[in-house]
Amino acid sequence: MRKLELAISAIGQRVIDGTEGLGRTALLFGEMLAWLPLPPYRFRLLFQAMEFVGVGSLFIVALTGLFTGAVFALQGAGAFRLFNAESLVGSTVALSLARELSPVLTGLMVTGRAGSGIATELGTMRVTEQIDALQTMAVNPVQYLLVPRFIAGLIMVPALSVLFTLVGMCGAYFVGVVLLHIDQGVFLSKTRWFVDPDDLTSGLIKACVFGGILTFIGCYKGYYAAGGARGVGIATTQSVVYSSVVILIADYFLTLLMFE
Amino acid sequence: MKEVLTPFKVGLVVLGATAAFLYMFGQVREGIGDDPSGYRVYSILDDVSGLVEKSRVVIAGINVGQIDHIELAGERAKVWMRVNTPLKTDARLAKKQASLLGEYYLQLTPGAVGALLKDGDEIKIVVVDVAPADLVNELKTITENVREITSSVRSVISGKDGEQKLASILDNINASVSEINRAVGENGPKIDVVVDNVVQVTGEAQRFSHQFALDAQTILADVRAVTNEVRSIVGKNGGSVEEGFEGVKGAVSRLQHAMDKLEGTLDRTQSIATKIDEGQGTLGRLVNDDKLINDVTELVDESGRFVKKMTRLQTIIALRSEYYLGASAVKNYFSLKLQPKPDKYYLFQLIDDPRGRTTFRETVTSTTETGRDPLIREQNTVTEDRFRLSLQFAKRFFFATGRIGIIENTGGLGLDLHLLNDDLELSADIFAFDENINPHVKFWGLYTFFTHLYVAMGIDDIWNDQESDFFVGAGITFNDEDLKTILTTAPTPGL
Repeated sequence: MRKLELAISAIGQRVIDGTEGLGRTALLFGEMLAWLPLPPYRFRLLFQAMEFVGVGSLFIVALTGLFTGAVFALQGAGAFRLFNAESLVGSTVALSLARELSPVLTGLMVTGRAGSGIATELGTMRVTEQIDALQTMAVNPVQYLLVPRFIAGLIMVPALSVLFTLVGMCGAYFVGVVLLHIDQGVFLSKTRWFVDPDDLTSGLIKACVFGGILTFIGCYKGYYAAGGARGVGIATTQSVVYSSVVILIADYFLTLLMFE
Repeated sequence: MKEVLTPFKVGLVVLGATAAFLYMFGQVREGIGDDPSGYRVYSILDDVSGLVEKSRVVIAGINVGQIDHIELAGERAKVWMRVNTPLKTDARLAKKQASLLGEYYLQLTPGAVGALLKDGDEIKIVVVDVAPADLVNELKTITENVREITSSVRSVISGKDGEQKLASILDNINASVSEINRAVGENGPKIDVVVDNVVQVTGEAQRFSHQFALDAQTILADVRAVTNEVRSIVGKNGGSVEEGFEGVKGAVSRLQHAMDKLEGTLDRTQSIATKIDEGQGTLGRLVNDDKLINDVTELVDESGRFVKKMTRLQTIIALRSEYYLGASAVKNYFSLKLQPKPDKYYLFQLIDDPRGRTTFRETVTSTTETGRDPLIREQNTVTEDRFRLSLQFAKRFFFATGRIGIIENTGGLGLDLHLLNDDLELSADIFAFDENINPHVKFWGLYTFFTHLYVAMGIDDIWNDQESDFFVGAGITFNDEDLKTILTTAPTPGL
């Protein structure tokens, strides 16, 4: 009987914790949105965050894009060759990149590089009481720390996603046209024919959402980190895992929303 | 620096992304049928399987639009398409299969008569093409027919009767073949003889026909020549054959006369050739005397070398004026440069210097007159020689040219440095060593800013404080080509 009580208690505690976490997330998100349009506008902090999120991730994103496009073209050509339809390689890669791969992979790469960094930085500030010090100095930490990072994610992840698409298409072109000798004109014309501006804009919207997700989760996990260095480590890991999972889930629903 | 660099880097990424997006956006917009000149038309089709929105609409394989929308119209399909080419009321539409993968498109024929279709009009003529599925059905029917035929054949030849009939046919064929073999075997030698005869006859006939063809060609050529001759003679003499023969007679007479003259000419030619061969006369000596030939060859070679030297010699004339800032005077140069080789030249200059040349003279006078110093030392500075002459030899080594000779009436040395592809020349002269004052040293630079024009500036007589002066100047040069042009185009006074 006692064990049953303990089990029910544990489950109840989990539910309470989960609900509390959800509520805290919603409150923090609401607070951040509320501070978003309010002065003072800290452009210096915003640019620093944009540099960290965007410029810092540029190389890894471009590298990923290049090889993603190249590999996709290689695999696609192998499959399409079975049907003598290699001309569709370019359009297939372009559609995949524009709609799905660019925003998702960019989101995941930036999560690994910048989202984790944000969580670590804020977590360290939290456990060393720097955030408390900000509050003591009457500086709102949400506006000072979270808002610039969130805006940076909203702006820079779509930018990186666009570059991912372009570089990925370069990789696909190289593999398809240069290495596999697919007719250049057919490759390009099919790509132009099948890809719509809507595909590009949908990818852009997705990347924007993913940028918001990964920066907010990184901020949230770091902001509420507790338990010293170990707590910071846990917050970092959780931010990466949660961001990746949420990005993939959000991608499904966004796709459903846009293309159905 | 960090403050500036961060926004700059961020701006670069954002700009790059924006440019990439706009580029890709522009590229993919080319693919969609949103040409402002496009308009929508529709057509009713029985079957639109394989057609989807954005499927191509082509004319002669060229994309002219795409399917906009497909909807159900009763039991058939209404296909809306956007096209950007004019169509007429007799335009036709056909559904075509692009590949075995099942990709379909619509093929349009724009039509030739009737009014132009407007936005929202219908293409009424739909051509139903044979689809692969229909072909498969046809093949199925054919296969069934073939199967029926084969079964009939089988029924005919199967069973005991069929086998007996086939055996009988084969026996008959065997018997016929054996009979033919026997007949050929018995008459073999006769057939050989016949064949040989036929071969011989055809060979003879071939040879005869060949020979006949050659003979006929010769005969025809002869006839043609004779005809031409006759026609010529008849033509010349107004149709009279007799007069023609008279003409021939006269021509033969003239020919005889010409032959006589030619014979005389040949006799004289032989006489001249004999004299030349024996070394008589100028031509004979020229041909037979080796020494004379060698002399002539040597003379020609010498002349060639002389002409070559003369043609290689470059003549450059320069005029230069220098304005001395301290003295407010202008010094003028007229230079003649004779350049036999690119790295060597002789420079002749006439110089007009209003400042003259300054010399320093000291006169010492001793006297015994009372009331006066026993030794009077008198110093005079004399300026003279307004007009002067320079004559120098110059040799160039890489970017430097050394000069030596007479500079402004005295011995001197000079050095030129050629920079900036010879456009800039830095020079130094040192001369007038024999004076009582310090040698005359001059530094200057020349910059050629146009083909024949240059500017100059420098400092003159730097070693003598009282005489040193800055100057600026400009000059103009003429080379061989310019002089040729000037001399050949300049007007000459009438005699």
